[in-house]
Amino acid sequence: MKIGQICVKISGREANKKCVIVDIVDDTFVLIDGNVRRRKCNVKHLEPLDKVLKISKKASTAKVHEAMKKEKIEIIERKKKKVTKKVKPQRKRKVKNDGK
Amino acid sequence: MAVKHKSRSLRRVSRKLPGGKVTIQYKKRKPGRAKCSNCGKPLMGVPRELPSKMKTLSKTEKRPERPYGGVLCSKCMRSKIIKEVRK
Repeated sequence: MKIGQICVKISGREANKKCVIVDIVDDTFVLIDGNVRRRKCNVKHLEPLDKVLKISKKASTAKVHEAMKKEKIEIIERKKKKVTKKVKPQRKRKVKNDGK
Repeated sequence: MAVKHKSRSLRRVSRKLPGGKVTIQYKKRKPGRAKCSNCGKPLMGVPRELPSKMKTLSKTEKRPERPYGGVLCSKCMRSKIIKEVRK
């Protein structure tokens, strides 16, 4: 498990997605990025492939995506969560009729 | 007792009424647990509800949010993905 190694996540919500090892935390945890959210992941949940990318330690997501493009690895664009401001329904104020 | 209550396909549930009396209510039996299509073990994260109630549940309440969620258990899913990757 070297830095830049391409592997496939085999468990969890992002299973079956390609990811790149960006940093090695200790012998059980690594930092991964790529088609998955950048987060710490257990080595057991990763299946290594033979390709290794040339990226620096703790490379940023943009750099990782660039390196993946070079290796012609398909990048899945993740939809950015649209921050929708919750518009409170204005309660119609009762019009006080003066009843003249 | 109504004739339809004689059949054993209804579940007998004893309930205490506000007046203190105890009555028997008849409820429909729940369907069996969802099973993994590969190893046959019961699936996690899939509720056992009658179809009419399942409709009221939202999509994420009816199955886990994983590839093959609600079809394969997590072990079978992992081994399947590993096989595909190793090819």
